[in-house]
Amino acid sequence: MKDKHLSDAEIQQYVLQKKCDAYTLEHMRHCTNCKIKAVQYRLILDGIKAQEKPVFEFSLAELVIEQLPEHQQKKPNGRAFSYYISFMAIFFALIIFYLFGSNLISLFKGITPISIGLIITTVTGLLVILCIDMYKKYRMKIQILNFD
Amino acid sequence: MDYKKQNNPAERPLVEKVLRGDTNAFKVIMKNTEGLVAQIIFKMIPDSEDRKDIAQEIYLKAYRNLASFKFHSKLSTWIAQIAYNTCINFLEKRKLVFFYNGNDHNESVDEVPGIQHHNPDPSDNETEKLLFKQQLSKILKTEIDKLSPVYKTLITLYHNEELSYAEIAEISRLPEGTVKNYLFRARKILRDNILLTYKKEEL
Repeated sequence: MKDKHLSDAEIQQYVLQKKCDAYTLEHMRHCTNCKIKAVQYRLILDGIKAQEKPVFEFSLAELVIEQLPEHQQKKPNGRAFSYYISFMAIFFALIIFYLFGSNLISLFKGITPISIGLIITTVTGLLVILCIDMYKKYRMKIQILNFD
Repeated sequence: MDYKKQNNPAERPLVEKVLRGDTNAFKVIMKNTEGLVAQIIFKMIPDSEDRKDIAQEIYLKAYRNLASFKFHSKLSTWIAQIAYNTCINFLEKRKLVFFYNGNDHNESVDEVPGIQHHNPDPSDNETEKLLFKQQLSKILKTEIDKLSPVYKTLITLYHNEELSYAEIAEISRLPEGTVKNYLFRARKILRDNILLTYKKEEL
């Protein structure tokens, strides 16, 4: 048997009756110091289990019920909302193209294809990064607000 | 308590009733989950007036967002999650420190006599044992209160409410490994502090 005592983590595992290796079990059989520690942990855990459960000193249900709105409203459908936004964006893009299409085409006529490619790649890249960032922030806020 | 039941099939009709405007059904939900919510609030919020406001805020939030509850977890876990987050947000707003623990010392207490004098041998006198238990319970309550809000909440949810690591991880949105680590540290701090208290009393 090694002289070294068990760590607190090992003793806690032993007390909680989680997986213990043969060395831990053997050590616990012989080491008074670790046995005492285990008894102390056992007493503490039993003590926590036996602690009185807190109760509100007011009628929470009554307080909450009187503040509830008349009728629970269903959350707007998120998917329908995103379809609506996409439709509106496409609609406005088409209008702009219809009104200024010829000007836009002539604007790009003088530029070499490689430059157009570069511009499109940069803009798309930036848009993707911005969208990912926005989505991450949105998820974080939703998590904090408990809306999911 | 009802919130300990696994996959309670009564939850879905109850939630649907609430969504149709039945406030009595919401009252039932509140009754079933109030104990767990109280545990979280009492462990995290020190002031009784704040507790009252926060308890109401939690259930109003739950009511407003019940339509988004997808039954991926137990309803009690979902409401406990709202309770935990609301308390954390409150502590953050008030700039109250929720991880610091002033008594998180590294002093060795292995040689402190303390509890080891009270050997819970079955041959001990019953009255003495009862007195010891009462004394320990009192000390334990004081020492739990001294822990940081997160530690005392986690330790209570695990040892008093007997929730699983997975449920606690879901409520606190902490990884399961972190929950286990915090629980280990909380138990160690608690033991060290109790031994120190005993030592002081004996001096």
